[in-house]
Amino acid sequence: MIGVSYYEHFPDGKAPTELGYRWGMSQLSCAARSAAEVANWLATDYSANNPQRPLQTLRVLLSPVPGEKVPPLRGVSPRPATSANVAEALREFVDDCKRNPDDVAFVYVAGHGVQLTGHDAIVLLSDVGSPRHLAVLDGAINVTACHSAMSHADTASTQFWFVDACRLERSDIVREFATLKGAITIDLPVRQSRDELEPASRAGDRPESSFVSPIFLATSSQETAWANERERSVFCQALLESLRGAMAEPDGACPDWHVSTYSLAERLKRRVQEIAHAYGKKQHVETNGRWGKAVVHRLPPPLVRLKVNLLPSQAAPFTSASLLRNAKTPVRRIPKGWPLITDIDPGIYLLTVTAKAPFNSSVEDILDVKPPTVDRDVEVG
Amino acid sequence: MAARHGTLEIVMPFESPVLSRILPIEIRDQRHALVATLRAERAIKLPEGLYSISAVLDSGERVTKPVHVKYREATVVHFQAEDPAVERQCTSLVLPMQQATNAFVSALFSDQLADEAMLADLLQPSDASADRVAASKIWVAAASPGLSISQSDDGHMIHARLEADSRPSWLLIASPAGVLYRTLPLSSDPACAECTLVVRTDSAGKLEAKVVLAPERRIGKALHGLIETGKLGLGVDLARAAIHLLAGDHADPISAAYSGLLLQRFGLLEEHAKPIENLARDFPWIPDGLILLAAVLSLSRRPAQVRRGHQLLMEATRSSPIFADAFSLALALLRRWPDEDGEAERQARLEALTGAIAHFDFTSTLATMQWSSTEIAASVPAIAVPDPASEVHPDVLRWLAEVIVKRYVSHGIPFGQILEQFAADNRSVVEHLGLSGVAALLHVLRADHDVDLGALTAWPLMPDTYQFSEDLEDNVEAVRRDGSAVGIALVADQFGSSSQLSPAEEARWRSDYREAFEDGYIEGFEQHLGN
Repeated sequence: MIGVSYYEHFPDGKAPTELGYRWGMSQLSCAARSAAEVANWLATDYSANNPQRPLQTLRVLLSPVPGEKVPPLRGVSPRPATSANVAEALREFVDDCKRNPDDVAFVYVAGHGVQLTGHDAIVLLSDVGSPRHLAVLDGAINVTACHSAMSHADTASTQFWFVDACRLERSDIVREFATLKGAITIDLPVRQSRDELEPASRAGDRPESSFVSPIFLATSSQETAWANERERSVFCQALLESLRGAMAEPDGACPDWHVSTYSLAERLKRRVQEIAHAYGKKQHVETNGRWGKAVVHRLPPPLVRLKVNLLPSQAAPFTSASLLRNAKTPVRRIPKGWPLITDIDPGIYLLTVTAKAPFNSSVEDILDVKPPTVDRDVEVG
Repeated sequence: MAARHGTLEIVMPFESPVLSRILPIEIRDQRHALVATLRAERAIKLPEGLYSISAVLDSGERVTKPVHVKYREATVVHFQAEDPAVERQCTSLVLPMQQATNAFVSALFSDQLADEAMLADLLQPSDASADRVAASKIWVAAASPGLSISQSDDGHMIHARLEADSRPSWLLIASPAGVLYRTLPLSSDPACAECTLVVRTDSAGKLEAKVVLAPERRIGKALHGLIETGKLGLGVDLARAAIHLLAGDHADPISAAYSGLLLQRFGLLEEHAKPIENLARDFPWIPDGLILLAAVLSLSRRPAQVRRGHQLLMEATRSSPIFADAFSLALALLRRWPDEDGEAERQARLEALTGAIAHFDFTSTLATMQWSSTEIAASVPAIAVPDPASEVHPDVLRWLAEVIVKRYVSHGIPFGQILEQFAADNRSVVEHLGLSGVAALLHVLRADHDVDLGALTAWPLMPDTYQFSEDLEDNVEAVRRDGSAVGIALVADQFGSSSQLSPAEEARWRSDYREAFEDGYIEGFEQHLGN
């Protein structure tokens, strides 16, 4: 988990440099906090609900700006997100992933980003622009290249990568550093021997469907990643909502309530757009990488907030409601009064609303109560 | 006791064997447990109770309906197609438009400022389309050969039909705010020969154009819809089927190319190398197919195949691909080709594409480039550009311009006061910039942020300092005597809108102008502030 809000060598940092000026960027407000919150989700929600793949190691590298409200981390001490620390943590992470192909790996990187093509994502680390660096991209991590290099047979077979960064084109950087020298990456493994134009799997002998490694990019190319200042990024908010059950459901492959790669991709794309739109901004999640269905997170059936609004509101004193699960089993302890607001198990319910004189009306409605919330109007007038 | 059953019948808005196989209908019970998945079937017996029926339509949208299955009763669920009204609203008005060739668009892909100046002519609608333009302020400025174009009465819908053999199709759509280039996913098969664009301008005046495919092009539409709505699993499943079906039957080669790009994006290209080879062979006019095959060949262990891949890549990147993903892939291949042979050629091609990259919209599905009218105007040689010889790095200028916009312009402070305030707040910065740096900063503010420098006349010091003449030469002399950047910027504005100078005079002015900048600006500037 890497979160970089503070950039020492930017113009508004403690030690600005000419190279820092060249990036033309300012400090961020909540990248470190966002990474810390995702780390805490792994250490708490994930750990509590996924005993079959328990959390074994967690590395957190944070460089917050002064005043950033970073929550205390559970069970781990963060290191500053400098290039040296990130390179060391990456080496340890790569070694850990080699231990057991059945393991699951999570990577989350938040900070300033740049891109060279529609699929690139380079994230700047805290010491980018240091006078000690030889190349402009010293102090950056090429996350998509690291991700590609981790797509092989001798590593964790299920990986989830999240890049929470802007992806702004810097044509001068493109021109001068087309080969991306300096950015931290991982060497590609030696290719499996095979002839071209024959079916092959990059993940070696493993069946095609068993290697899953999507990479979720918080923005499309040339877009800015937005954040609620001093709180958390839009992408982080949508990600945590999704992982906490907003898009969970059981299916044929996994009868437990769970978040899958498929449901996460669908929810993240829609939710990030919604949140950004609420602030008058545009942000589009892009997903690449090795695709397939995998369980990201198992969780108990989440309670769903049901809200039923009565129309017209003047009918409230004369109107009552009942809620039958599967049209048979009454739900007990429905609060009285309107609007009807209650937290119930997900499921399908028959709602009956009866209004006495002068409204004299009875309405039946089938409610598909799914996470995260259901909001329904019922008209009796 | 045996369960009491009823029947659930489902009516879908389409009957496509491929889509029915890929887009399942899911039936969940009252606890949301999955109880059945229907593919080709449209009816099922279920124990009585409440169910949730979920279907993904060919638009990519997921629709969920709760139903009550009752004992011995048939419950029918209808899923409706999206309203096709959008595709019918375009009338058959034929627009006269400027002729253009594919060479024109190829030139736009090169890295020469003069090519942007080519667009200046397109910023004015033709006389024949002036009435329609008056309503919508959107017009088709140019189109690829073989296209017939019509536009709706309100101007916001444009219908394009390919009347000739298959070839890359594109439109240049213009508004007073700028010009938008967009490829069209058309080929000669009747179902694939037409599409509709829904065009609007966003709050910043930027053009947006959404392409709507013909309803008959069901698989292509579904592919786009699934990806746009984030249903990537289903999208990939459909792409696997579609690349064989659409390229093999030659029904929709452009959608086949899109399928190939999706498979590449999700790490599955190598498993579908055969249809990629077929696509590139049978449809060489689709650059995207060539780029995909180059990607496959780049992974080969045979040097001859890698060389062939390099040649395909060079051929394909001479002009615009149809899809943005293909451009991304081509750039990645140019930057990271596995063989050193041809490196100089690839670097040269990358250099040539830098201009296109700057205007390319990687967020679109179809290849899209956009130029604002400000950018186009800035590229026209007749407009005066403040001293380009500034030694201050462009990134520093861009950053300073952003600071000025954020701290001052966005708060509605008149520009003349902004300069004064900025100089007072940041005297050391202004000293560092020097005269030429301030001039270059003014240029960045105008070019990148559309700041109206004409408002410089609001500077309270100006009326006391300059008595402007109608004659440009008089003003040049006045400014030269004083050496004030503000005066120079004012005269530059006047110069920009003036046609009084011959090319030789213009060259002389530029020379004088630079000299004037370099003579004691700071002193003069501070003197003004002291006053």
